[in-house]
Amino acid sequence: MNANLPETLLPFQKIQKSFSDAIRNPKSNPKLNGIEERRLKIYSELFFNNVEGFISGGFPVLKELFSDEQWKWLVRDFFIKHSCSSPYFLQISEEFLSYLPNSTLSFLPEFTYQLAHWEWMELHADVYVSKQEKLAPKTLDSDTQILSLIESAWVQAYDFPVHTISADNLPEPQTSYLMVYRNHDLDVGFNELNPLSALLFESLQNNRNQVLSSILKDIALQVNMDETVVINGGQQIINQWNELGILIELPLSSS
Amino acid sequence: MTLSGSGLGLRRGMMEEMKSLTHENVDFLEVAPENWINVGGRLGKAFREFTERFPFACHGLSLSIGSADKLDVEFVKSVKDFMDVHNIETYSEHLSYCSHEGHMYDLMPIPFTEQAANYVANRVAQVQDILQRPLILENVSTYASPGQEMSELEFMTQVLQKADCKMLLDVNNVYVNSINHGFDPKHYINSLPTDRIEYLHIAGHFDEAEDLLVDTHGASIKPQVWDLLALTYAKHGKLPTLLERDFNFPPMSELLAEINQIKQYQQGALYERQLA
Repeated sequence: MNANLPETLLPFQKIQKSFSDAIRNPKSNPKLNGIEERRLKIYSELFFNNVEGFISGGFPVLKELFSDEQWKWLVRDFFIKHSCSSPYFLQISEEFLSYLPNSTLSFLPEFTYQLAHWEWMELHADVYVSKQEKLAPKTLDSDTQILSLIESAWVQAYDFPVHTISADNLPEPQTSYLMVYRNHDLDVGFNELNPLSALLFESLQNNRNQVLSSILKDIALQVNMDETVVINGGQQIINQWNELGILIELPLSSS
Repeated sequence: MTLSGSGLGLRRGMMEEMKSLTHENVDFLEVAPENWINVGGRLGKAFREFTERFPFACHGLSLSIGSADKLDVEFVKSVKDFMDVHNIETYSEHLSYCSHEGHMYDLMPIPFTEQAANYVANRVAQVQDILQRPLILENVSTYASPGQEMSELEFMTQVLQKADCKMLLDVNNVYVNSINHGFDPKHYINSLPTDRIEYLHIAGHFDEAEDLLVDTHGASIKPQVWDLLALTYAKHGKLPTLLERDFNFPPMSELLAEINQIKQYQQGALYERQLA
């Protein structure tokens, strides 16, 4: 029983239950007392098309992988089985995402959830509410500045190269580190990282008081690589991230 | 701030074009808080620029005042915070429900019973307590009347009275329902208590069949609905009126022409009342 509902429904609420059931799942509830089928059909179609519109808009690549029939089946299954708790329309995508791991539909490929998560990240980055706006560094100096990353940047390790998936390009398993960001100009972008840059991302994100050269020396130790190679490579990555507009400079006093 | 004059619903799909609007064009704008709460980035920034320039009304979608699901108190608090941040005083919602064992993101018809009217009235009081603002309830368009024990007009009037709240009169919805359920729209409008009506909505609809209209907000306003707007002004006075358009966006000039027509009707109403 849903925790949101009272223990016993009032008579008018029982009618609401059968009405909403009929909208969610018209095939199992084709008739309601005293209501013309064509009128009920208007409701079930309006509701389904509305939800389908939000999900197609949020997951265009996923949609492309299925036939029309499969896609409608998937959305209908979500609409019937998943109880959405969010009152926010932009979070319908998130509701869909939390339904996917529980879905029992046999035609969903193994990477479905990860691809959907990847597609959702773009929306998440676009509308994310920043807690603190911080400025980009004007120039870069790896020995004196304390650098960190804008809070609207995320790295996720996926088991598939989800960023390359299309109907013509289905993936083989392969760990992929993907960064999604919203930069200082509020533009959203993504970048594929290698294990080293993923490590640098993590160190920078948690950085409070270390200068870049010291961070890179730590990474070299950690991965047992030549220090000069890591520092040179790391500085290139930092230059690139600065151009993307995702670095921030922390005040020295925070050290 | 109390609303006045004519307004337009702010939609993401029209935002770029709406940036050029001035106070000459519209007096106020309206948004669904559900589409803007927790929205940062470029969209949040663009929205902020609008709320700094125009008076706003909030027209909610997810309150689900008639639902058996528990009232989402956290959500109502978020609406209050949103209205405080953007300096918005007017909050309207639908006399409807959009959830049962979870959200369904569209509006369903509450069974018109006395018990339902009492139930809604109790929840309105809860919402008003949290919001510290009056709740304004809108008559919604419906395509079926499950469990109906009284007319829509009786139900609406009972709720307004029991909840002691205001009404957003959607003139298009009155017309749509009058066709869908076979009642006299003029009688409906004339019977409403004038002092309860806070503002008006007007929009276009889609003719599904001769006896079944769908409230799509995707077309221009029909002549019969303009007539009802004129009737509403004549009966209840020159109320603030908002044009809703949710998709099939026409060029802004077309929407502004409809808004100008609203303004003309409002001036006509003023003139008629001065004569009377």
